[in-house]
Amino acid sequence: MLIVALFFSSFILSLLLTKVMIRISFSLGLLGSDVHKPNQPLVPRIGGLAVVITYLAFSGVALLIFKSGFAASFLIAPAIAAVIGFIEDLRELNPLLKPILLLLPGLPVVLLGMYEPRPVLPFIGQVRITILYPLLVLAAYTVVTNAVNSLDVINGSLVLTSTPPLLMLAGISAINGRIDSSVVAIILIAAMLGFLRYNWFPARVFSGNAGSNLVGAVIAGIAISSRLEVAAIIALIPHIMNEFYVLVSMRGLKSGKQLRSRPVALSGNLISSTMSPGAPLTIVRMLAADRPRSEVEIAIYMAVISAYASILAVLTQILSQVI
Amino acid sequence: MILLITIIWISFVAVLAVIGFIVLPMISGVYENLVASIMRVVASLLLFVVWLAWWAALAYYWFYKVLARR
Repeated sequence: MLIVALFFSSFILSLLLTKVMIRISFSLGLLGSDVHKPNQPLVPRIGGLAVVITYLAFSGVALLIFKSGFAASFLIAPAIAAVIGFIEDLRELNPLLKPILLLLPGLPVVLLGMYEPRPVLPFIGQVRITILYPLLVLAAYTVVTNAVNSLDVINGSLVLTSTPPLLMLAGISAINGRIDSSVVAIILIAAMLGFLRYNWFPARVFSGNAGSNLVGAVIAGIAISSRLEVAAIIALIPHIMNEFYVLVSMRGLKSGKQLRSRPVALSGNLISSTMSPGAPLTIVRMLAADRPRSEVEIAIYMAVISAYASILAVLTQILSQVI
Repeated sequence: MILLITIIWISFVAVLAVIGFIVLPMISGVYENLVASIMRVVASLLLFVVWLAWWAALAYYWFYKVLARR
């Protein structure tokens, strides 16, 4: 009953706050152009702050109610990631500095020892990597936040691609008795669904980096604190694929403005892959490879592959426990 | 795309299993010397990098095959 109340309260607060953020964005001139529309309209770009505020408020309450000791993982790290994202929303960060800054959310987790350096590998069981694990925790925050951020490219794609991994983590955490992890995931899903009302095609607001960084940090926090590292990596295969292909095809960390040629082109309302070998290989480009597709079609396809990856994550978790 | 993700998943689990076997002696409770431990971790990371390179090559092959069909 309490979880249902938290879910609906988060949903409603996020819905209301997103509307407020739209107004604030317009008044401050914080707008970004929607490049996948023919006339490229200007859209408010700090809507993700509604998700950030809602999540931090309600997960704070939930952690008090459930007497969880994981405030560093579920509150402090996501808050740091969101602040870094918000700074990037206000002024562009150096593409080399950004991944370094995104190591910071992992610091409180490492310093307060909110991890178990014995990840459970499929078919092997626990492995003890006491020295390496804290370094992997720091790396996890920068990889996951960047990966989640890199799929926030189409109207609705942030919510549609982040919900399946969060649902998977919430379900397995609940089964493993980690109710606090499960509840924070549910609160974040509710907050994102409230935001989706205005972010769905045609978007009236964008999340911005604050929102996507928070989502990535929460996923990393749940995976580390609930010892679901492998399941989380598998559920995030589409995200990591996207980030990794972009890195490989751009030959390193570069800003989107440094692109020699764009991965997709617009013809009317349809998105099609460009033939240019110099353009980065992105998930959107791959999904529009066989034929031009509408933005809604691509967003739904992204949700399907994300849901499929989450099902594979559950399957891996079951195999790990059975074998 | 679904097939590509399935292949990546299978290969990821396989690589994890191999990495697990490389790291396994470190968790047997016997504290071996530091150099051997470092060698095992480096070997694991190298294996992971090889898998990443293979993964990227596979995606490029798949993408240009689909694009050529169009």
